[in-house]
Amino acid sequence: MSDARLVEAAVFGIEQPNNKAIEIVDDIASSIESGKSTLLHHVQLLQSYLTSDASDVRSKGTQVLSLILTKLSKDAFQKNSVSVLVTFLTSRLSDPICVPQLLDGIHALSRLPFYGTEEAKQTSLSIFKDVHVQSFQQRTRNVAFQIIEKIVKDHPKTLKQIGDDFVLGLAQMVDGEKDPRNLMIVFQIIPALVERINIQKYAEDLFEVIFCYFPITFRQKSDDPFEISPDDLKVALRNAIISSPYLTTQALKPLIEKIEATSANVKVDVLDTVASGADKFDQKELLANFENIVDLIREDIFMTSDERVLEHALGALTALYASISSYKDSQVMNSDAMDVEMTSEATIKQNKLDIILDEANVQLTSEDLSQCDLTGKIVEAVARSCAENFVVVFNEIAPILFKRFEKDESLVHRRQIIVALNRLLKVSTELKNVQSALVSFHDRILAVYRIESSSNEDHEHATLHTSRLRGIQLLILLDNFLTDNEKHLGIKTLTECLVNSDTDDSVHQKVLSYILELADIFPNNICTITLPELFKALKSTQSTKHVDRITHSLKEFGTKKYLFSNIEMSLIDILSTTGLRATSELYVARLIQELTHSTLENNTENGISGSLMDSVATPILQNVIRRAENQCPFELESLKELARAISFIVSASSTQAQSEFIQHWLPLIGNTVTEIKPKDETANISIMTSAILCSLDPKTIISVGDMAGWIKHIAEVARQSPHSAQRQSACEIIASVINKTSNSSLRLELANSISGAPPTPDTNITLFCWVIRALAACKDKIAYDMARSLLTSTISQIPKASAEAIAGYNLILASHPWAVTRNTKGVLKLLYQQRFYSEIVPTILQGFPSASKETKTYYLMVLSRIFQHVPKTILMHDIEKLLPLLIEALRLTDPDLKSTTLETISMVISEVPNLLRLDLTSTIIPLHLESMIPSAENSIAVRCSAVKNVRLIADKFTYQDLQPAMYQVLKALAKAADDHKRLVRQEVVKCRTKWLLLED
Amino acid sequence: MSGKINAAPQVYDVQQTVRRESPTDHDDSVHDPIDADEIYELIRNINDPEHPLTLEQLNVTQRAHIHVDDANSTVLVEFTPTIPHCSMATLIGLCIRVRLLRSLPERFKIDIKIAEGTHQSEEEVNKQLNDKERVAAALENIHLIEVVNQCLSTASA
Repeated sequence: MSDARLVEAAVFGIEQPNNKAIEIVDDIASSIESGKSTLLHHVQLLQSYLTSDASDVRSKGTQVLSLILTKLSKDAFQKNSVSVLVTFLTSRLSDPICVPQLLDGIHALSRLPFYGTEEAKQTSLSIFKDVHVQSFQQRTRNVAFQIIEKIVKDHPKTLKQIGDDFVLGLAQMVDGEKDPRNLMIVFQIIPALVERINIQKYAEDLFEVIFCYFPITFRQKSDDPFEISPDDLKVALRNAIISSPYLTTQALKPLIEKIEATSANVKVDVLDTVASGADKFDQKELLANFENIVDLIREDIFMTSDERVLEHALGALTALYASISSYKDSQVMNSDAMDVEMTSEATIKQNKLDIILDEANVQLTSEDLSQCDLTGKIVEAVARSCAENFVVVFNEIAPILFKRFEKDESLVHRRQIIVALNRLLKVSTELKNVQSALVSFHDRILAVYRIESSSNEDHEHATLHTSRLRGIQLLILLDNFLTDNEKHLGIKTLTECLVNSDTDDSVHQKVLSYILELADIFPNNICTITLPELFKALKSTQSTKHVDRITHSLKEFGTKKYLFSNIEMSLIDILSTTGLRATSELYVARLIQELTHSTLENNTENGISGSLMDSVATPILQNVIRRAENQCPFELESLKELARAISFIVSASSTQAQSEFIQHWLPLIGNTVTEIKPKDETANISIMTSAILCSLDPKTIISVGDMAGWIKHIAEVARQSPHSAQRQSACEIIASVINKTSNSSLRLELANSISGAPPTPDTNITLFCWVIRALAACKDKIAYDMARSLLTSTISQIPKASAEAIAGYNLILASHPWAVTRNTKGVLKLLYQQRFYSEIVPTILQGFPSASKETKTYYLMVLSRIFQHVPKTILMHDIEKLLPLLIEALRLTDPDLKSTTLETISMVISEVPNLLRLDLTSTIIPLHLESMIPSAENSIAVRCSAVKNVRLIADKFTYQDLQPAMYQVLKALAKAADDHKRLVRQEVVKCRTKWLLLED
Repeated sequence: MSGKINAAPQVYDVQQTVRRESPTDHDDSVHDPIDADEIYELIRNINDPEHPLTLEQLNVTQRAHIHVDDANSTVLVEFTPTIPHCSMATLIGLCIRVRLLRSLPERFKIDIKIAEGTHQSEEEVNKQLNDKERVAAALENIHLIEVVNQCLSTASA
C-alpha cells in the first residue's frame, strides 16, 4: 500500500474500535525510524486532512499526526522540525475541536531535547490565550497541566521571559478544576514556579484558585489506578500554600478562621499548615494576629479529646514561637540602630511569651491543678521552639513549680508538678546551650527528685515514684548539670529501684526502660553499678517472681552488644558455684540460652560463633562436668537449656571449628552415649553430647573409626539404659546421623541395622519412631512402610506398646530443639509432614469403620497426634471424611485427644461452619458443653478449648441456628463461670458476654 | 465549647497486664480463687461514657479499691469519679455492675460504691447502684442498656 493510502486508512480508521489504525500508525512510525521515509513526508501527506474544512476530518488528521509524534523516539526528530511542528500545532489551538489532539502532539514534542525556550514560550502563551482548559474533558485538562508542569520544571528562561503573565495564565487555567489527578499536578507546579519566578503581582489570583480547595477532602476509590491518597493531596496542597510568603500571608486569616472547625481531620490539617508555614507568614501580620491564633490553639488543646488534634496543636505552637524567634535575629542583623531594635523586639517577644506564661501561672497556682498536665504540655511546646524561649520559659515556670511543690502535700499534685518539670527537662536534653539556665536552680531541682519511701499498694504513690525516677534519668542525661558523683548516685538510685523486689510492677517496667536508655550513653556506669547489683540480688533472692524480674532485666541489658559478654560471663560464673536455688539456676540457664541465641541471630560478624565457642560453650561444658564430678549436678531442665545454647553455637560454626570442637570434647563426653552409666548425673551429660553431635553440619566428620559399630553401641544404650535422658539422647543421635547420611542406600542400611519393620514385642518403639522421623524428613518411602506397620502391628500384636506408639507419632512430626531440625542443618524436605499425613491417614480412614472399639480409640489418638503438625489447609481438604471421627473422638476420655480434637473442630467452625449445621444443636453444642465440666478427662486445655469453640459458634451461626440451644448454653456457661481455674473463667467471661448479647 | 461534664480529664498510664502467668496456672489440682486482680481485669477496660478512654486510664477504677472474698462470695468495688459533681457516676457504677453480673458466678453478692468523699451525691448514687429493683428497672430501659453495652464493648474485647 502506498504511503498516501496508509495515511488515509489511518485517518479514517482512527475512531474505529479495532486497532487497525493504530497498527498503521505503528508501521508509519517504524518506517520513519528506519529512515525509509521522513516525518516531513507524512506531514505533507496529512496536510489536506489537517487543513480540511470538515472539523471531524481535521480532528482525525491531527490525532494521527499526534499519534505519530508520540510513537517516534527522540532520534527521529531534527531541531527545525520540532520548531516548525510546535508553531504549527500551537497556531491551531484556537480550533477547539482539535485541541485534545493538538495538546497530545505538543505533549509528545515537549519531552524532546530540541524543545527549547522559544517553543516552550510559544506553547505556554498559546495555551493561556487560546485554550479554555476547563471547558475540556479531564484527560485533555490533564495533558495541558502536564505540558505546563514540564515547562515550569525544565524551562526557567521561558518563565522569566513571560513573567507575571505566566502566573496569571496558570491561575486562570486552574480556576474551577475539580479532578484530584489534575489538582495533584497543579499543586506540584506551584512550589516549582515560586522557586523560579516572582509571583507577587498575581499572587492574589493564584492564592484564590488554590486556597479554595483548603481543607481538601476526597474519598479515594479502592480501585484507583492512580493511587492518589487523600493524604498525598493534602500534603501537596499544603506545600503549594506554604511555598511562598506571598501565598502564606494571604492564608493566615482564613487559616485562623478554620482553626475553629469542628472536624478533627480539618483541625489537624489547619494546624499542620500553620506549623509548616509559620516561618513564611508575613511577620507583621503574624504578630498582629499572634495572640488570637495562640488563644485558639490553646482552646483546642484544652477542649479536645482527640490525641491527634492535641499533638498537632502543640506542634503548631512550637513552630509559631520558633518563627517569632527567627524573625528577631534577621531584623537585628539588618538594623542600623541595633540597640533600639533589640529592645523593642525583645519586648515584643516577651509579650508573646507572656500570653502563654501568664495563663500557665494561673493554672499552676490554681487550687485543684486540674489543667496542670495540659499546661505542662503547652509550656513544653513553647520551650521547645528555641533555646532562647526555653530559658525565658524555664526561668518563669520553674520557680512556680518549685514553690508549689514545697507547699503542696497532695500526692496527685506533687506528681503533676514533677511531670511538668520533667517535660521541661526533656526539652533541655534536646536543645543545645540551655543547661546553664538550669544550673542556678540546681539545689531546688534536686530537692524535687529526692526519693521518698513509697507504698506499693497505692497506684498514686507508684506513679509519683515513676515520675521522679524519670526526672532523675533526665537529669543524668543533661550535659554539665550533675557532677560525676551525682550521676553515680542517680544511677544507683535507679538501680536500687530496679533491683528491689518490693518495687511495683509498673514502676519496675518504667525504671528498666530508663536505665536501658542510659546504658547507651553510660555503659561503664551500668557495668560497674547496675549489673553487679542485679547479679548480687540474683544470687541471694528466694523469690521466683524476683528471679524472673532480674533475669528479664538482664536479658534486656544483654541485647546491648557492649554489655552482652559482661553479662554472659557473669551468668556462667554464677553457674559454676553451687548454692543457687534450682529455680534460679533454671532461669539463669534459660537466660544464657536466650542471650546466646539473640546474639547469634543479630550478629552477622564472622567469627562470632568461634568466640562464643571459647567464651560460652567451653566454660558451660566444663561447669557441667565439674559439677557432675562433685556430686552437685544441674537439674535436667537447666541442662536442656544449656544444651540448647551449645547447639546454637555449634550449628552456627564452620565445619572446621566443629571438627576441632568435637575432637576435643568427644573423648571427654562421648562415652555418655556409648556406655550405660550407673549414675543419673553422669548419664544426664549425654544431653550435652546429643546437642553437640546433632548440631553438626552433614559434612563434618565424626571421627569414631567404625561408624556402624559406634551407632550399634549407641542403639544398645537407647534400648538398655535405665536413665531416660540417656535413652533419649541416644535416640536423637541415631536419628540425626541417619538423617544426615546423604547416600540413600547407606542410610537405609544404617536404619535397618538399628530397627527393622514390622515392630516385634522386642522392638524399642521410641527408637523405632526416631528412625521413622529421620527417614520421613528425607521423604524416604521406607518411613511410611514403617509407620504403617507401627499402626497395624502394634495394637494387634503388642498392645502394651500402643501408648508408646501413640506418643511416637507426635515424636515423628513434632519440632525438636536440635535433633533432625532445620536449625541444625538436618535434611528436612519440603512438605514432608504433609506427605506423611497423606501416606498414613488414608490407612486409618480405611481401617476405622471395621475396627474394634479399642483399635478405634487407638486410631483416633494417632490421628490427633498427626493433626497437631499438619497445616489446616491440608486438614480442611479431607474434613468431610474426618468429621465423624472427630465427633467420635469428643466422646472419648483421653484429655490430649479431646484437646486436639477441639482445636481441629475450631478450624471447622471457622472455615466450613455449614458442615456442622445439621448436628449443631443435637450433637456439637451438647458435646462441647459436657467438655466444660471439670473432670480428669476434661483438663484445663479441654475446658478452655470447649469454651472458645462455643464462643466461635456464636460468631459463625445465625440467631435462628443457635436459638434452640440458647438456654442450655447460658446455663452451662453460668456454671462454668465458677470453674476453679482462672484460665477457664477468663474464656467463659468472653463467651458468656457473646451469648448474652446475641440478637435476632 | 464542649458540652461534656469533664471536658479534659487527667489521663493516667495503664499497665499492660495485671497478672503475670504463674506456674500453677496450668495445674488443675490448684484452686485459683477469684481475687481483686481478676475483678480489676474485668472492669479496667470499661469505656468512660463521655470519653474514648477506659476507667483505668481515668483512674476511676483502681486495683486497691476492690475487695473480694471468694469463700463468702462477696465483691465490693469502689470507684472514684473524675470530678465530685460528675453526673455520669451512676452510669459508670451501672456499667461496672452489669459487667460483673455478666462475668462472675451467680453465687456472688456484688456491691458497687463510690469511694468515700469523692462525690457530692455519694450516698444517693450508692443507694441507686445497690437497689436491686432500681437496677433491674434501669436494665429494662432499651436506650440505657445500649449505652451500657457500648461502654462494655471495650471491656469484653
